[in-house]
Amino acid sequence: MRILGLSFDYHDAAAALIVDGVPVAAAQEERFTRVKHDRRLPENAARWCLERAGLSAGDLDAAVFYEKPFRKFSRILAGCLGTFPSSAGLFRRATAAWVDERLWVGPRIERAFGLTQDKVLFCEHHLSHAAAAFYCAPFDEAAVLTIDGVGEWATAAVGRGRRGQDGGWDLSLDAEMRYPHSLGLLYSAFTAYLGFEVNEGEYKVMGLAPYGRPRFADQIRAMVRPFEDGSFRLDLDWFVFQSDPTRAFARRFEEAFGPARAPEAGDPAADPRLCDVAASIQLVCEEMVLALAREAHRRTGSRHLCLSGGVALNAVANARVLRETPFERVWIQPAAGDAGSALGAALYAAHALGRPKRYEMKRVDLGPEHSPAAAVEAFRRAGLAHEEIGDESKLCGRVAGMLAEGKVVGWHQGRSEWGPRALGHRSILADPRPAAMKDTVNEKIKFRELFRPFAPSALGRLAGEWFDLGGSPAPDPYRFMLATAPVRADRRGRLGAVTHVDGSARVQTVFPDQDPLYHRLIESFGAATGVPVVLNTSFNLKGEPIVETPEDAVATFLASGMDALVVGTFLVPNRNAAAAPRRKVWAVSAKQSDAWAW
Amino acid sequence: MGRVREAVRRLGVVGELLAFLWRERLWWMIPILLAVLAVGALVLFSSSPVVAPFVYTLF
Amino acid sequence: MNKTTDSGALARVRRRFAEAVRAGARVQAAVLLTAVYFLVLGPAALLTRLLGVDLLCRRRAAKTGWTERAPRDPRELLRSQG
Repeated sequence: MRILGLSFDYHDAAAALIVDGVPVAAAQEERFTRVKHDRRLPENAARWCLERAGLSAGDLDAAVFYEKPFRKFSRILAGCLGTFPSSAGLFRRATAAWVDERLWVGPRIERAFGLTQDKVLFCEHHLSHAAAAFYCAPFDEAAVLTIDGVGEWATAAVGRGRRGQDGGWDLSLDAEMRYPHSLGLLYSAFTAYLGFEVNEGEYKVMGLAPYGRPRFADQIRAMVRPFEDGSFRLDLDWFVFQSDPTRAFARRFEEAFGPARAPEAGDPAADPRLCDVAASIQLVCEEMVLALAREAHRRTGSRHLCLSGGVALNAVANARVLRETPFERVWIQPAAGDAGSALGAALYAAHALGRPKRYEMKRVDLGPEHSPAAAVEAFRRAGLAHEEIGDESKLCGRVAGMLAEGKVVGWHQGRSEWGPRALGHRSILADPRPAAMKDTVNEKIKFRELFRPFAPSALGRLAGEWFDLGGSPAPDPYRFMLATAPVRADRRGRLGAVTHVDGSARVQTVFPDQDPLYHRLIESFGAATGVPVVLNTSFNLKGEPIVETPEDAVATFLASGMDALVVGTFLVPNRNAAAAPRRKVWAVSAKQSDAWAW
Repeated sequence: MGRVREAVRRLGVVGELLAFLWRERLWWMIPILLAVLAVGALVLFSSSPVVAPFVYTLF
Repeated sequence: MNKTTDSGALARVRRRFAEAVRAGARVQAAVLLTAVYFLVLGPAALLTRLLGVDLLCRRRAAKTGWTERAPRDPRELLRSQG
């Protein structure tokens, strides 16, 4: 059975193709269009998925949209009604957008792919999240918890996946919390208050938090009003997202926490008050996620937890779920946000319509790969001299040596990663040892905020010696850089560039079964330096999508201050064609005024 | 022909939406929906430079 | 008339007219939707408030934020847009 999953119209459009229950291709539209967070119908991504599998749209058994448009539209109208007369602006903008295109999702999919109406299906938003986690996890039975901003009505849901009587795997959500009572929207309101872009800057809040003290936590707890069963009711007097199309927090925020930070204002880490606000919302968010996870355990009694939804990308909260809940094993969908729901919707349909074999997601390289000829052509166009190093161990040895010398290397290998994290296929790599390397990469390569930390990729079998991963083998989320861990105190001096101010790191453990080449590179770096860890950040510049093609990689290489570039077996050992970085913003950020809930 | 088919398909979607609202007992939303769709159709119509001069004379 | 046969001045006039029409349509949409908001949504909002319908789950007396979900047949669920 061949099923195409699609998510679009809100943010991070994506497509995923499932053949006989196994994902064969999945990618976000932004990687093709170079428009950050591109939300348009993912025609490019979907066509590539079909091409990759050697199929045409006519071969599909179904195309599944990741949510229910009618239910969502009715929630928006109900919200406008409930906040009358202050929601006139929201009503105008939302209804215009819905009548213009969002109501017609079905016909748009039919037209884009030449499908008949009966082949276009619709999953539920949180079921798509849940399926993206449970149907990729290595469990026959598990509690399932999804937490995000809002889908149709649900903002969080709890349920269970298990083997059914007919031999298939059943997934159901038993209870949900409903809009506007949303942990995701609460966190995003603080993201906006701190001057970051919603749906993009949440990582920055998490990165800023360790610089502050959570002295506002009690005030935030008071606006959340938690119940004993992990659920909560937001005090809506603090928020305006339910009635305002572009704002999230009410004036009371500024009375309680001081003036909001203007977007693009100076370094927030230099303002202790802003750091304290970030620390406070992060702490409350962690407490709420823990309470929800404990409720999932109370309801199901399961030993396993599957976690998904945008909030499941909060690596600090995830680390606490790993350590402080009764679950023995936790599995988190690497593309936990809405893009991942393209995969979830397709997997849900695959299991609902058939009885496919069980799939376990061990690696995330589900995106496009590019031929050596494409790399050579990209180098030729840019006038870059390159060498081909066919032997992998020689290539890894050479690159490890360059990293050990302090060089920053662009690393473009194989198929691109599914999800927001670069895990060694579209990465910028550097030496994790000198603390100054963090500023070098932030200032000269990524052009991003100096307070933000960088993540380490560590050799899986040795990672426990460097990081306190809370057990051996390390929990699964570390494979996909989904949780933080304390850097062992005696090793912090040797991991200066990847240890955050609180002594933690968002570590990725790399095993040979997951990525043999990247594993070998880290092994080579370890042999050369005694530190089996590299600094790994996504291969992009601030505000741009992660590179996809060798051409993208070359353009980013030339626009930044990277020292060397590796594409497949080709090495560009220096910036021979371009003496100075040429900062060129060639991607467009799809800034969305409608980043809230409509 | 394509446009006619598209219009018919969209009418079908409106029918499905009305059925959904009825099933969910969201009757009160039906007049709102119809008013919004009427505005949408009018605006779509008046966005066309060919038709606009005639539509604007209505106001 | 084919675009390539348009004289420069005529093309400019056509473009500006189309832009003006689109701007007019945007204003028209805003005015009409505002009217719908107050004339259609307004009475409905008044009615729901009089009837005490809690559309945004604001009631403070609630003891939980969870809403239990009724089981749905997966195949059936996928067919519907709502």
